[in-house]
Amino acid sequence: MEKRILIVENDLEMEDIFKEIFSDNGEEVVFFYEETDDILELVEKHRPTIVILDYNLNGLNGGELCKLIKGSGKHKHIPVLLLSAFPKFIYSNENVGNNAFLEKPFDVDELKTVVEHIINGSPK
Amino acid sequence: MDHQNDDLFKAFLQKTHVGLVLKKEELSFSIYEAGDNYLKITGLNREALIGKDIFDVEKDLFPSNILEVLERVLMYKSEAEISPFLLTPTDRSKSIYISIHISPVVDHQGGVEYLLYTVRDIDQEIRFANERANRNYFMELIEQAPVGMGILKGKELIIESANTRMLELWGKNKSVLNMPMAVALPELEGQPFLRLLQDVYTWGEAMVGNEAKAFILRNGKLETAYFNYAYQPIKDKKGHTTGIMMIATEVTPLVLVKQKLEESVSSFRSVVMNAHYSLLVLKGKDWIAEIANQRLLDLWNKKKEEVIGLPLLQILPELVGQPFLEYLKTVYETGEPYGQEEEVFYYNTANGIGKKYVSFFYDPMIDAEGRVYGVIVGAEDITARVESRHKVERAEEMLRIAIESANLGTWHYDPLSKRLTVSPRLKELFGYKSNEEMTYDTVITQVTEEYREVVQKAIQSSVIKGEHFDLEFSIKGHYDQQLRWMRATGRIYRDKEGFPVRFSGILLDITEHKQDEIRKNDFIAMVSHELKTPLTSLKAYVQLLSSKAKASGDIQATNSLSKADGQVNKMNNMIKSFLDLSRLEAGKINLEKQQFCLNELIAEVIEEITLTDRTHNISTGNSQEIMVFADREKIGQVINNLIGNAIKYSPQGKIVEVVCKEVNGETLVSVRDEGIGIPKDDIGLLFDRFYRVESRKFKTISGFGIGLYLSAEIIKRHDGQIWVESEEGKGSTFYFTLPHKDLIL
Repeated sequence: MEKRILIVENDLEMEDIFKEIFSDNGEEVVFFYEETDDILELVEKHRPTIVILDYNLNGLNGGELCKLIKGSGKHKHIPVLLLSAFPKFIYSNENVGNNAFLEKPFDVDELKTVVEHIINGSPK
Repeated sequence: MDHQNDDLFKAFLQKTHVGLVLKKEELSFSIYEAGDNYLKITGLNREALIGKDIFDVEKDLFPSNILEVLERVLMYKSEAEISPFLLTPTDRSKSIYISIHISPVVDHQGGVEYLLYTVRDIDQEIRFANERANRNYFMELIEQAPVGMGILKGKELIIESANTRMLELWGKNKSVLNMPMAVALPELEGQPFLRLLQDVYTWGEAMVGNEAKAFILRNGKLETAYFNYAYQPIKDKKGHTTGIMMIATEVTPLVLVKQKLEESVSSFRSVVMNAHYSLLVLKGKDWIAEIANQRLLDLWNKKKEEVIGLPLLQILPELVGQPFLEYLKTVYETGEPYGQEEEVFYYNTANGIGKKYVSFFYDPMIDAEGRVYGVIVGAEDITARVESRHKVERAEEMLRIAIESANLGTWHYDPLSKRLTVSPRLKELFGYKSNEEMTYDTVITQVTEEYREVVQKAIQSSVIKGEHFDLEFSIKGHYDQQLRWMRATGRIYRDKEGFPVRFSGILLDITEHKQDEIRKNDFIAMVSHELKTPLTSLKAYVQLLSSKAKASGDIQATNSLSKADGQVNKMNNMIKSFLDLSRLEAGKINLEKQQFCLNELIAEVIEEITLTDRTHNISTGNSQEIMVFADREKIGQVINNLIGNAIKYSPQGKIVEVVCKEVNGETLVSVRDEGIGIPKDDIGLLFDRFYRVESRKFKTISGFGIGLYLSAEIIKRHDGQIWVESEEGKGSTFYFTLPHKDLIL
C-alpha cells in the first residue's frame, strides 16, 4: 500500500533527500519546512502513515509536536520518528511518546529500516 | 688567890681542856696560864704565852673583838661565847674551827681578876655543816637551772640525780632515778650517746656536743630532738672517775628554725639562680643590682661583674627613655607590684641597638616600716615566641587578605554537633544577612536539586573516608532566590584519635566563570549541531549515490563513495566528541544504564573499526563472556576511543588486543598495543582535558586531546577506574574497570 510520510524539518536541503530516499518504494513524502504551528491540522489534512519530526525547530520543537499527536486521541496511533543532530540522551529525560529516534547524520539504510519497523508496529 | 691554891689551879688548868687563864691587867689582859690542849692546837709552847699580853702574842690567835668580849665578861660577870673562830696555827698548816668559851672567875670579895678562856675543836662539825649547806644550795641550783642536769654514777651510768628539766628533756619521770642510763632511756640503743658517756667515763675526758640529733621517746612517741650537751667526768681524790655530770639543753626549735631558714635561703637562692626566667634583686634608691641570675645576664648580654653591685642605670644607661624606669619608680613610690605581659626592650650591643621582647614583673621588697627598700625583678625573654606569633599573625593576615580579596567564603562544620560556622562572605553568597545563622540542613536545601545528592555524597565521603572535597554546584540564594554557582573545597581535620572534629574549607563564587562555561558549552553544542546539519545531507547524498553506483555496477564510484561515507563518519565522530565534552562539562551527561553483554559490544566496536582500518590485527584474546549494567553507548565510545588510540599510536605495531574479564568481582577491560608507548612524565596527565603528549613522533597524529578525558569521565561516572601502563617504545596497555553489577544498582 502507498505510504504517506509527513516530515517537518528545519533544513530545507533535506526535502530532496527525503523524497529521493523514499521515492523507490513509491511513498509519498509531504515535506514541511518549519510549518509547525498546528501539527494536528497537518496530520488531519494529510493523514500520514508516519510522521518524521526534526527536534530542533523554530517555535514548538519536535518533541512538543510529537506530544500533541500522541495526545490527540484521534491520531495517536500514527507512528512518530524523531530526528536530531543532538544524541538521544539529551532528550532522554522527557517521554514525548515517539516511536523511534535517529541521530543525525543518519544512515540512509537505517532510516529506511526504522521507518519500516515502526510502520509495521515494531519500534526499534 | 694564894700560892698553894695558885699552883693547884695551874696544874688543874694544864691537865684539863681549859685553854687559857687570862689575868686582868690595867689596860689589857695577860696570859696567866695555858692548857696542854691549847698548846697542842696552836702549836705554841708555854714560854711564848705565859705572862704575855694578849696583844703581844701571835697575830690571829684571838678573835679581833676579843678585848670587847673580855671587858663585857668582866663587867657583867657573865659568860661569853665566840663560835666559830677559825684559828690558824703558827705553822699555818691547816686552820681549824674552834669554839671559844669565856667565863669569869669571881673571888670571894665579888671581884674578878681571872677569866677562863676555854676552846673546843669544832672543826669537823663546822666543815660538815658548811658542806651540807653548800650541797643543798647546789642541788637547789641544779634543780632550778634552766638546763637539764644530771649525775650518773659508776660504770653502769646509773642516774643518781636528774633535775626536772633533764627529766623533761628525756620525756621521763623520777622513776628513772637509780636506773642505769641504758635501762631508763632504752631508745638510746643504737644512738651514739651511751657510747660517748662510756668514753667519758673510761677516759675521764669531758665531752661537749652541739645540736646533736637524738631520737627520744616522749609521750609514747619517738621524737626527733636536738641537744647541746656537756659530759663532765666526776673524779675522786685519786683522780678516778666515779661518775659523770651531764648538762643538756634542748635546741630543737632553734635547729628547726635554722633548718627552715637555711632551706628557705638555699631554696630562694636556687629559685633565683635556677629560675627559668631572669631574676634580679635591686636595692636602695640607686637600684643597685644585688642578685642576678644567669638568665638575666643572658637577657642583658652582660657579664656578672658588669652587673652585680652596680646601679641599674650604670649597667644599662640605654634604659633612659624606655618605659621600665617609670614602672620601677612607681613600684618604689607606691609599694604596689607591677607586671606586663609584653614589652619591647632595647639594649646596646657592639653592633648597635638590639631589640628583645620581654614579659616582666616588679615585686617591691618592703621593710618593717612599710618602706620599699628594694625590688625583685622577674623577666622573661619572649622574643622567639613573639616573633613566631608575629609570623603567624602576618601569615594569617595575608591569608585573610587573600581570602577577602578573592571574595572567598570560609566554613567550618563540626560533624558531631552538626554545627556550621561560616564567614560573613559565605552568608552573603548564600543570600543571608550577616547576623543570621545558617544551618547545615538549610544549606543542603539551597543546593539545587540536580547537585543536592552529589554534594551530600561528597560531604559524606570526605567526613568518612577523608577524601578531599572539591565540588562545583549551584545554589539558590535564601532571599533573592538567585542561582549562583559555587566551588567548594575542603577537608576533614581529625583529632589525635582520628575522630573527625572539623570539616572546613573555602567557598568561591564561580557564577561568572560558570556562566562563561555554560555559554561556551552552549556555543559548542550549537556549533556541533550546526556542523551536523550539512553533514546530514552530505552523508545522505553520499549514501544515495553509493547505492546508485552499486546498482549500476560502478565499482570505482562505489569504493570512492564508501570512503567518503567513512570520512563523514570520522568527522561526525569528532563533532560528537565536542558535543559530549560540552555536555559532560555542563554536567548534563546522563547515563542510560542497561544490562548488556560486554564482549558483544567489544566485538561490535572492533567490527566497525575494521571497516575503515584494515592495517591492524585486533584480537580479543581469551575474553570471558561478561554481562554488565552500564550505558552501552558510552562504554562503546570508550572502547572505540581506546582501540582508536591503540591504532593511532602504533604505526609500526600490528597487534591490538582487547580483553575483558572478571577480576576481584569487577569487570576489567584492557586494550594493549605494541606502539610507541608514553613517556613517563606524561602518564599522569594523559587523562586531562586537551592534553596531548608533546613529541615529534606525535606531530603527524591528529586529535584534539579529548578522547581520553571523555573516556575517563565516562568511566568515573560509572564508578569505575581507568589507568594506563606503558613503556616508551614498547607499547601501552589501557585498563578500565566497571564495578560489579550489584554495586552499581
